[in-house]
Amino acid sequence: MRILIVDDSKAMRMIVARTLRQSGFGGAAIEEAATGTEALKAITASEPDLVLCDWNMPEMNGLDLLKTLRANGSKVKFGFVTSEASKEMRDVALASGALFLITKPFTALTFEQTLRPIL
Amino acid sequence: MQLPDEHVCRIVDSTWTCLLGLAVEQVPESNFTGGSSVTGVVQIAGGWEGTVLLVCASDLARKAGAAMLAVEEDQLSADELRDALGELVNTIAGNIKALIPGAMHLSLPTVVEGRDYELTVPGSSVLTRVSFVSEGMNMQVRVLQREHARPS
Repeated sequence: MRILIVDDSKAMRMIVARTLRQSGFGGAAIEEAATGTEALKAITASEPDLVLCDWNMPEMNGLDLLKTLRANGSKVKFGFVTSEASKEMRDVALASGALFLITKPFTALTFEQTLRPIL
Repeated sequence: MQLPDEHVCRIVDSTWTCLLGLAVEQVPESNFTGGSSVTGVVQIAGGWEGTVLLVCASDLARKAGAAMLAVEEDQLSADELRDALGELVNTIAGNIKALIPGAMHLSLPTVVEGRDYELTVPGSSVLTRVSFVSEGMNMQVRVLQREHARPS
């Protein structure tokens, strides 16, 4: 299993990776991208089993990345890990093809309960 | 617009616990005079406009950054420290934004560091100021509310 973490913060990418291990996904190959553009290239080259993406990033934000992927025909499983989680954002995320939206700060239990049913 | 202290305390406590594994306790006041500190800043814009600031004693910011990146404190680079503090204030600001009704968006975080500096946002007033201690060191969360300019 391959999981791609997309976040412009190195600190947050490390915390997401650590939380994946704590929530029982330690066997997955964890890949990282620091920008939406970098993620788009990586996903286009070889689709991972799941993309965990920040929302608020410079250049290409998470929602634009998701919309671009869907416009290109990608069906990769995609979820947001973000500090913002209003009902409006959740509605937009789901309507655009995201499977879930995890709010920061999060726990290993949240990851397990959210990811287990889809992986 | 009101933002009770207990809401800020709950957000800071869960952020510190979940992301850093550190305890944090509310205290009556923090004093940063004479010491160096690091401040993370995020702007909220839209239906409500304001600024969220996270001020940390420099040694606490270093400890928090090391905890986030799972490295020793003396191995943490300046860029990594700023990145970590930016993510902490981003998380706190995002949760504060969720308490405010209306459509808004967050800016990317900015981080300032130094000694005896005053950071102000023109046209804003302090809505909430809550002080904390973590690992025996001071930190404070301030939420500033921007007054909308009236047409002349």
